[in-house]
Order: sequence, then structure tokens, then C-alpha cells
Amino acid sequence: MTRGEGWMMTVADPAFRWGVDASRVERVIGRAEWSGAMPVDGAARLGGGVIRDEATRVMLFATETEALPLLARGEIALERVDGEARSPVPELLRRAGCSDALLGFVFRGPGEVTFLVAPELLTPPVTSEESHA
Amino acid sequence: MGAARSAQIELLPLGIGPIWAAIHAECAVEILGRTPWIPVPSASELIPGVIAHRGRAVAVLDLGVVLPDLPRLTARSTRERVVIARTSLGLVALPVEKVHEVVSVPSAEVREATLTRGSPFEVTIDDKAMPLVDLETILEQRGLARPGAG
Repeated sequence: MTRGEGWMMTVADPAFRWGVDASRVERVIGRAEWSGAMPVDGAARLGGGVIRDEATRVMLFATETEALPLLARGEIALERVDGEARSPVPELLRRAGCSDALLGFVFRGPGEVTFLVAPELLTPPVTSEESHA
Repeated sequence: MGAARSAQIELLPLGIGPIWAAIHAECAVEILGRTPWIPVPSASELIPGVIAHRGRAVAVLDLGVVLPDLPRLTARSTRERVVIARTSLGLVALPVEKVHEVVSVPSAEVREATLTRGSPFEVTIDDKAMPLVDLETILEQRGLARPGAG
């Protein structure tokens, strides 16, 4: 997501709310309708833990080489975000080991935040639905 | 007179529960009221999350990781005060319960720690022995500081 105004597709995952650059989301389909590669559990890869929940959808996120299927667990919303509302990851947090896939924060209110994620930078999971296949 | 002044250091005592610690007052930028902190997935114990400060994310530093007598931060726990402090890597937020007024003490009163744990140095303020926390040293010891910083 570039600076300035833009759209973010957010997922209200039970672990935390995360979002991606909406312009790169090709489509969202039901989990049962998806028959391609095992979807990436973005929340689990980011460190949110594994939550088994069948009520999920698959978000196809465009990368340079392919459409990456992301597991979207929770309500999905399209939100307009201006550049001022986005905060970068503090250098100290990054140096202390925070995932490179975390691009920044959109603060929604006291103690409420959406984590902006770069799905292509998510590292392989320790365990998740992906490994339960 | 000038020499006497230069021998004074200004400290900011911070309280969490019954325990007090002091930081160098010159590091403190602002003291906020009750401000929720947000745990960040994949973050470390020392820097477990962020707070929103003036629309920007500020890294939270858990003093409980450094000072074993202090309780650790827990997810969604909110303390009464947050001290925003300056480091070579930008601002850090220190959630605490109490903040004392700045105290000027003779630098000779800073001594090697024998009564407190977690910092090599301690000082006594208002009859309370407390560790003297140097934020830059913490970052250096954890391999987080920029080479040559501090």
C-alpha cells in the first residue's frame, strides 16, 4: 500500500484485526469453494496462534508471481484509509524481532488497531490449518 | 558552584506496585495518563507491543523484563501512567503506575547495586533504594542499539 489515501481489506480475525492492500485482492470465496493450494493462515503466521474455525473464506491476494490464497477468518470489510491514519512499525519494534510481514498500524480507537500485513512476506507456519491438511 | 551543579543528576522515579525504579529525567519526553497498549504478534518480551501516541505507533518497553522485582506487562493490562522516553532508536513507551516528580541527586549517590536487582546501579530517593535504569544500556545489552549509538 502506498502513502496517501487508499483502501484496505480487513479481516476481524478472533486473534486480531488485520488488513491488506485492497487493490491487490483479486477475489474472496468461501473456504468450501476453494480447491487450489492450501491457503496461507496469515494470522497464525504472524504469531496469532492457531484457531480452528470452519467459518472461513479464502482471499486471493495478487503477488508478482501468483495469486496467494489467504485464509480469512472473521468478518471481512473494505475500509478507506488515508496516509495520515497509517503508522509505520517503530524501528525498535522491528529490531526486536517483529515480523517483516507487518507493515504498519491503523489505529481505530483506544486500544484498537488493524495490523497492516504484506502477505508475501509471511514466513512458513509452525503449525496451522495449513499443516492439518 | 558550577562544579557542584555538574555533579548533580536529575532522575525520574517510576513506580509499579510497591517497587520503584529511576530513569534519567532528560530521557523523558512526556507523561501520559492511562493509555492502553496493544500487543503485537511476533513481538519480543522486551518490546511486546505499541501504544498510539499522537497518531503514531510508539514501541512499548516492558520494564518487568529488565527488572525482576517488577511485574510483567500482561496483554490488555493498562497502567495509570505511560512515560514516553527518548532513545537512539526513537521513542519508547514505559507503562507504569506512578511517576514521582523529578529529583536532583548528587551523582556520587549513584552506587553499584546491592539492594536492588536488574540494573548494575542503584540510588536511594526518599529513603527508597531503587535501580537506576539506563534505557540505552538496556538496548545495547539486548543487541538492539545501533552500532556506535549511545
